[in-house]
Amino acid sequence: MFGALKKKKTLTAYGLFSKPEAAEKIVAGARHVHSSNLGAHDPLVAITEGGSERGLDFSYPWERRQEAQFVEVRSAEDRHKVLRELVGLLGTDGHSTLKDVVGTVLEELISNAIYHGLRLKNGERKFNRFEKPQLQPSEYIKVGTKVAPNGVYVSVEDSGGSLTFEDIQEAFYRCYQRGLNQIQQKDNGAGLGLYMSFDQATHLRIDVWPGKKTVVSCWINRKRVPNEDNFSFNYFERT
Amino acid sequence: MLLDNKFNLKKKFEDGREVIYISGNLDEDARFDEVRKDQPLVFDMRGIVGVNSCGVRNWVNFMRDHKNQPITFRHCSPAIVHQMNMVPSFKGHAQVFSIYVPYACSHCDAEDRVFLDLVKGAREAPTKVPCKNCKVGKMEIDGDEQQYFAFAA
Repeated sequence: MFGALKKKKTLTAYGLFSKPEAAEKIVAGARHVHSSNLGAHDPLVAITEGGSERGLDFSYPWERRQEAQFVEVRSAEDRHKVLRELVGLLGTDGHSTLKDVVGTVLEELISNAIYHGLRLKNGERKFNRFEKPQLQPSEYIKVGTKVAPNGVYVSVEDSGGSLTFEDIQEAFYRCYQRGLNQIQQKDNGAGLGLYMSFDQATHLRIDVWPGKKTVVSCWINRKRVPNEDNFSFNYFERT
Repeated sequence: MLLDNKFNLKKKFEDGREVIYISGNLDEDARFDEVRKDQPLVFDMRGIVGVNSCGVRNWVNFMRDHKNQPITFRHCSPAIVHQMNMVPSFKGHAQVFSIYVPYACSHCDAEDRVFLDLVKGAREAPTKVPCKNCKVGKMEIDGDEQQYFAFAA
């Protein structure tokens, strides 16, 4: 079933979608999904297409990384410390829904980087979810955040470069489908965290340099009410 | 907040039946070993504040293991409703009796939640409610109403 879906190659999808509809488009092969009532005329689409065609470094408006604050995660134990620190940047009087969303997304992306991003030379996962791993000196996970009045930017970079578009398709397929057997014990949490981040984030971008590094970054709107249907997903494979 | 709330499960007898109260974070530490497999289950979920991917996996496995028992969810917190909408197998075969709907004030950013009894037919949340905090603004549903009720479709 999934094999048949993967063969349908649609690289882009521009229109007005719900998140589950967008997930279906990703499963069907769309590496770039922009949901906006402007459709293909949304200014973000031009940025995406420019970046896809030229393969150059480029930024969406929310990604001025020089203003972001970066911390490194060296072990599973660091995870909660880093999470507290970064969510703490939102202040004590912030919108608690936003804090929960940012906390959830960061936790999932950092866990993904530790448990799924770093692989052995044979491609097997290095750590399972029940281990408390310590990173080797040659490995790194870098977490960035930037708090703006209208939202929060987060990015998680790992030195694995192992996240393929097919991994994402398979994970999304299992998550949004109805039925009791889609998520199983053997999944070890794989993919679900990314799907949860996609669901929570307004804009999700994944850049993969195969075998070198993966950067998953997203923008989370502060207000959940307006423009709920404006969101994007972009997967770029770099050389 | 996901970081500081340990998962907790308590059973209480109410009106001659067992009600299972779960609270805190539904995560990798969530255990359901003490839940019986020989009776209908009623879960009170008002206390669940966060759910991570390991928690979803644990819960979906739990639902699969108890697929032959009638299961009822009541007082579902927004965190639970969100998961039911995102991962359909999270709700599985359960019946949802009641939920909380999150509201935010457009004037002062205060947050609140409104209880909805779905059994009594209250399928629609009020569009706007007065803000108890600033007493000036109106509170609106925090998010997209249609998407929030997608689990009931």
